[in-house]
Amino acid sequence: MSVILSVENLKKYFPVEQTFLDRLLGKEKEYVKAVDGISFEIKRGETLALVGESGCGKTTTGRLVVRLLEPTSGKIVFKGTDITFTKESELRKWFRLKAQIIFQDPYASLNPKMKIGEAIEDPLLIHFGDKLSKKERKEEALKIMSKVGLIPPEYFYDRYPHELSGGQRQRAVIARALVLRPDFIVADEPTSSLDVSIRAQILKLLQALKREFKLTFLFITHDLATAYYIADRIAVMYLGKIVEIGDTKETILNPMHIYTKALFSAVPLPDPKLNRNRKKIKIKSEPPNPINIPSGCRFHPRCPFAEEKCRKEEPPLVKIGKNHFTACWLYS
Amino acid sequence: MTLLKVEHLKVEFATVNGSVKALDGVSFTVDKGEVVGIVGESGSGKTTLGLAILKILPPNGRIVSGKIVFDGRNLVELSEEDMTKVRGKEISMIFQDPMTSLNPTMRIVDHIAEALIVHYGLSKEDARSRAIEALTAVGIPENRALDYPHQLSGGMRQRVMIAISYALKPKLLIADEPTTALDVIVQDQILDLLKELRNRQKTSILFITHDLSVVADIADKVIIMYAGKIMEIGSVEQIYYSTLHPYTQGLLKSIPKIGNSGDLYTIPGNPPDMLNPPPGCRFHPRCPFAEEKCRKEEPPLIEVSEGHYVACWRCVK
Amino acid sequence: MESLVFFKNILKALGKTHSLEEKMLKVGLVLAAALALMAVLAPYIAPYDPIKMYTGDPYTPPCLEHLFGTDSMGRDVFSRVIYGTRSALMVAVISAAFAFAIGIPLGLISGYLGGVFDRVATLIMDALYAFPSLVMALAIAVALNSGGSASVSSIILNTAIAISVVYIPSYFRVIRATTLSVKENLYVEAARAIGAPPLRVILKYIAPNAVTPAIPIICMNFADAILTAAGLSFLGIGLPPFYPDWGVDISKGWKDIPNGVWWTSFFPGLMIFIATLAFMLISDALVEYLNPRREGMRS
Repeated sequence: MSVILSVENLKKYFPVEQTFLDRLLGKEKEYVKAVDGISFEIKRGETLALVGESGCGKTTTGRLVVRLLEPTSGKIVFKGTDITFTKESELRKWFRLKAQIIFQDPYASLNPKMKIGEAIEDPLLIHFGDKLSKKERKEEALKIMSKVGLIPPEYFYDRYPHELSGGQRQRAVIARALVLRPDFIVADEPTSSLDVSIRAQILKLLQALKREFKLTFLFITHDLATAYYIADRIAVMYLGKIVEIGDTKETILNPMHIYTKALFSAVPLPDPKLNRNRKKIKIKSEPPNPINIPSGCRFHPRCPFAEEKCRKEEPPLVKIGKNHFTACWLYS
Repeated sequence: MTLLKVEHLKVEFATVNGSVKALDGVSFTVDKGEVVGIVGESGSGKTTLGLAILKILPPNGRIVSGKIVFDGRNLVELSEEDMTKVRGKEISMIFQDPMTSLNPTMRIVDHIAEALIVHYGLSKEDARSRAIEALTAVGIPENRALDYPHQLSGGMRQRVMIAISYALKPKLLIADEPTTALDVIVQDQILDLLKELRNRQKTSILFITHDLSVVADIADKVIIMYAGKIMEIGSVEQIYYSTLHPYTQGLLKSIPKIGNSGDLYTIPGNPPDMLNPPPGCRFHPRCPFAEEKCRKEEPPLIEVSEGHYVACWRCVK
Repeated sequence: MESLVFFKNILKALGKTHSLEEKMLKVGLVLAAALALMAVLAPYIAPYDPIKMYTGDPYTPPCLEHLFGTDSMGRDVFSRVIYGTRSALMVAVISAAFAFAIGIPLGLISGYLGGVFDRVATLIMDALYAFPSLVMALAIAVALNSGGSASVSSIILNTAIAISVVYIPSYFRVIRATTLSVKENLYVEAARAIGAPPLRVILKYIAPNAVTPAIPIICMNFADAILTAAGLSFLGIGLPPFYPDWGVDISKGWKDIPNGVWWTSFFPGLMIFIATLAFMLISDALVEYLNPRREGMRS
């Protein structure tokens, strides 16, 4: 099948802890609506970038899609199977072998007390402990370590995370994610914590691995240029919803939603003349907090073109171009 | 008019595993009202530079040699007592995480008012009103002046830090990765604020960052650092359009650019181990043009065209 | 292997810088090592048999033949004090081992599971913790030893168990706290992502990282256990009076102080002090050494 992941009206609400006083006063329960009804599909072999600012829900979406979190409502279908509310013990049997996640901070995502070789082998030990011998496991680990550029693999096999540089650690994390040969990977800001001169190495590595292992990616990032480079399609999130989604080039060079336009125009370019001469759409103030979501279109308080309708009704995603959708009343 | 002149500054850190030469002979100038971007990766020494100028290095760091001439005085020779008069009032600093610079038990208006009372001897009422003025100037409405730091977002806290500078009117502001932890739109707003600070008060800014795009947006002059040394200095146009040093070129070619679908260049290797930096030119193990001389002798920083300096044997042939 | 590397690192760090805490650690380690040696080599170091009566005249003050003098039955105080190290350290080690074996797994599970289990466990532990330690240890020790017949080794074991009950809440609390914090780390989430079942996550990913901060606490409990054990034997938990034990000796000797016989209480007391001091020094120094803030200085 060509669609590997499909997400329908996905929601994740985090309850805000109530104080005893609140409960006494009968105060209504509040929720952080981190993800508030998003839908999208990812085709096999595609890379979909998820961009947005902090609090937009992109990180939560990444966690939901690999079921490290349980959704509040909605549907997640992976390779034809509904995994929305599947139990963890069930997921461990097959899903975890097919879908993996790479985190932003490579130091924090490696167990400081485990050697690199051990860490990369652990997935094999967990799922194939009885089928693979120790030697076979080590061979597999060394093989994947070579593929990710940890060369010579025997040297890195015996090292601890703190002995590796940031780039090397991230390679180890990638190796661990790939050792089970998954089909789908969520990459949550995999290069943001790395030095500039290392980022390109890791990005190119991910692309090469994608080709070789026929992977599909959900690539979460706040850096538009990285999204432009690596993604086939891009989705822009704001306060828990997707406001614009489409082919990368088309969407980034020709944004439609006002928020997207403001976001993209705020990104500095490595080109002094361009920075000086371009027109910027400036929006005021700070993003509101996800507990008190504005009525209607959630962007309306900051939108310079907001009208009456925007305050009352929430706009749906509508098609505005070939494979380009946006949620804005200006276009429907 | 030169405000700051750093000459052959050397800073070392004592660690359990040996001595780290964080800054190994760094020289540059900052003019009045100039924004100088200091660009480098981890281990480059850029943060150490900011801390050294204000003489707030951690206990295991020390200035080994060199001069920091600020407004005619050599700060290296200044006593701690005299330095406290310089800090805040003449040179101030903002950091990546404003939460750690703000006192959680003090209202934000008081942060600014206190500084004014200490440095300018203002009365409480005067200090308060000047503080509110400063907050408004940076975009924080008066009704939030009595808030505590934890009630503000990251962007707003950073604005408070800038407000302190705005109120104290320092000659030099050292900003160490001030927008790295901020979202793009907020970053844009903060950069605008800094530009305004420079325009209105002629404050010079030393903008320390790893982000070449941000530097292209805000800086007049750019200094590229690597492994404790300066590789290239130039105006922002010279650095981006007439790049000389292979490291700078590598950096510019390796960052993804919107509108550019071409393949990314990668600088091979890893940032150097600062306990045992490479001999000769520090960058030579990763340089595609390295020759015998580069491995043996360290290239000096030489002016190749007006205001454009580079430390590279290949560039001075 | 990991622990060897750990200690090697401590020694390396000691060699290079000479701050106060490193000096403290050296002194503590030397004292602790000396005490351990004393306990093991007691038969070879002690000049006299500690139980043998009338090795000299009773109440002899310290002199060349009896370095610490003799007690009411003419037994050599110096030998008694050396042999006393044995019961002190044994009780400390056994009680620490018990408290460790029960407190740590409970703390891990409680911190990991949270919910009702955590609430109940914490409640029980807080209640235990609130009890004055000496009183509770005494009550348990008396209850366990009331069988009468007991041999010296079973008395020591019971004392150790009584003391361990006092310390289980300490271990529980510390490990629960570190577990709660380690649980939030990204590598624990990563472990779940690769499909590790909960037991594996606890054993391989959380425990090794949560237990390290507990190490100074173990040392502190050691020190405290020695003190409490001495207190218990002072109050008379059942060790026969001829048995060489610091607390027992003080309980017999303190009545003689007004009569000018100070050495029968002073030297056992001094040993309690030194033993407690040794482990407190080590624990204090370890707390500093393991302080994550020092990461920067350790390059």
